[in-house]
Parts: sequence; C-alpha cells; structure tokens
Amino acid sequence: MIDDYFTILRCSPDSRLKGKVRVRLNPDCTVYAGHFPSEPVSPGVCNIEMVRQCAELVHNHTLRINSIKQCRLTTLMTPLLHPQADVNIDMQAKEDGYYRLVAAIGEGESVYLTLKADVSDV
Amino acid sequence: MEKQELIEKVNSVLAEEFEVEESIITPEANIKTTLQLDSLSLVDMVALIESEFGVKILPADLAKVQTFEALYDYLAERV
Amino acid sequence: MVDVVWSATETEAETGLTIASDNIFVKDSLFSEPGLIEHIAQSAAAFAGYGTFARGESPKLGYIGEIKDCIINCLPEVGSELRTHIQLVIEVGSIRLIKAEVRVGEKIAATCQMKIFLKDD
Repeated sequence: MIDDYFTILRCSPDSRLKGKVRVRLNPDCTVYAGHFPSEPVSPGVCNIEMVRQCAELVHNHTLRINSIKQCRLTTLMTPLLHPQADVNIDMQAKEDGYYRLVAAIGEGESVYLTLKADVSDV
Repeated sequence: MEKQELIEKVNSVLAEEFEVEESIITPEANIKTTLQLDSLSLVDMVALIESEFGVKILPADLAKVQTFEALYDYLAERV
Repeated sequence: MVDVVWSATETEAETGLTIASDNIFVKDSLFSEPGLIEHIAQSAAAFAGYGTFARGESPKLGYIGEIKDCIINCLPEVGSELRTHIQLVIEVGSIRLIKAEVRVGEKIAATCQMKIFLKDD
C-alpha cells in the first residue's frame, strides 16, 4: 500500500466519531509518476484512502468501506498548489452495525472532496 | 402521453431526484437554478430523462432547454 | 491497473486485471477498496481511449468527478483475476456517466456508477 501519500500534521478528535485532521500531501509520492506525467494531480481514490485513514485515526480502530453512497471530487487538488488541507470526519452509528461516514477534504473556501459512505469496524 | 400528464410526471421525477418541493417548479423557472444543478448533476438529469421518457437530450439542444416549459415542449415533441 | 481490454464497442467494454502482490493498493494480501475504484476508473479510461483511438483522436486525460452507489462486496485476494464490465450510460459535454461491475469468477466484488471528466487539450 502507498505509505508516503501524505503526512498528518495534527489530529483533533472531538470524540471517537467526530474530528478534524490536518494533512500535508507529499509531492514526491510515487503516484504522481503516473498521475500524471508532468502534471501532478492528487488521485481521487488516494484522497478517499486518506479520508479512511483519518477516520481510523479519529475512531482509533481499523475501518472497512462497505459502500459509497456518493463521493464528489469537485475541485482538482494538486500537491504543489494545495499541499495542505483539513479532513473533516463525522460518523454516526447506524442500526445495522455500520457507521454512516460523512467526510470532506477542504482548505479555506475550497472543497476538494465530499464523501458519504457506510463503513464498519474490522 | 397527454401534455398535462407529461408535465406532472416530469415535475414529480425531478422533484424526487433532486430533493426539492414540487411547488417551486414553474414553467418559466430556470431548470439549473431551481434544481441547483451543477455540471455533474446536470448529467444525472439527462440520464434520468432518458430512462424515464426514453428521450435523449442531445448536447447541442441542452443549451436551449433552459426552462421547464422548454423541457416539456422538447419532450412532448419526442415522446 | 488494467492488463487487458477483452472487448470494446462504442457503448461498453470488458477489461481484466490480475492482482499482483506488488500492486500499490494491496494491503495484507487483499486488493483494497480504493484499488477496486481505481481499477474501475482506469477501465473507463481505457474504454474512452478505445473510442478516441477508433475515431483517430488522441487520448485525453480523465479525472473522476463523482462516485455514486458504489457497493464493495469483497476485497479480492492477490492473484485473483478481475473481469470488469463498463457500460456508458450517457455522455454530456465532457462528462461521461458509466456503470461498472467487477467480478472475480462468478462473484461480484463491486458495482459502481462513476462520472468522469475528460479534459480537452
């Protein structure tokens, strides 16, 4: 698994279900060799994985993504122009044992990703 | 399909998909502003119209279909 | 993240991928959720590329704009052969809406709807 996509600058959990994580993207990560040569754009799926890892950090437990209701990648994020961002995590326990995760990656007025997904403890 | 029946069906499927009150849909209202569509959700609308009415709104025609009235007329000619 | 395009027409395509142990989305010998989604996106890109190739145009860069109703039933093991069906639902301007189904043998690993922006340049 890619382990040098981002670094965590700060994790501010309000509870085990809610919190904010400050991250910095690594422009030297190997994914940019392919995505795309001479035009580094942060891959949407890597941002989804970053959200999962931030949610795991807030939740203090490994999580599996069971389904994605909707994920919008509204603004392109690039590691050179947008090196830092906040990842907002908001989870609610559901009756079926899953959690509904509502998350966003953004910086100031810019929103790079919004996600509504069902996740579960592994 | 009668025109009135078509209008009612268009309003109800759009209101449900884009989660707005049907009452705010009026013939002269702008579709994009009323349903708060951006470029991504506009694609959903075109796909929904095709699956519900079997009519594909051609990209060249999309610019002309600005109001609900224009949409009803567009569909009425093709359904 | 696509080894082979088994078939492609204007409206659908079938692609394949064998999960290598050194794939960057493999974790604990399983192909992770973002890996499945990236494989779908790249299958859609290969499919779009096939269309542009058939029309004699040069391929375009593509970005995922939206993922919707994506269900991940299982995480395939290293060595599994994925077979993925991509269907073009509609194309509006530079956005393509596709539906995808990823199978491992008879089992459906994931289903998904995706919107892809194709960049003109």
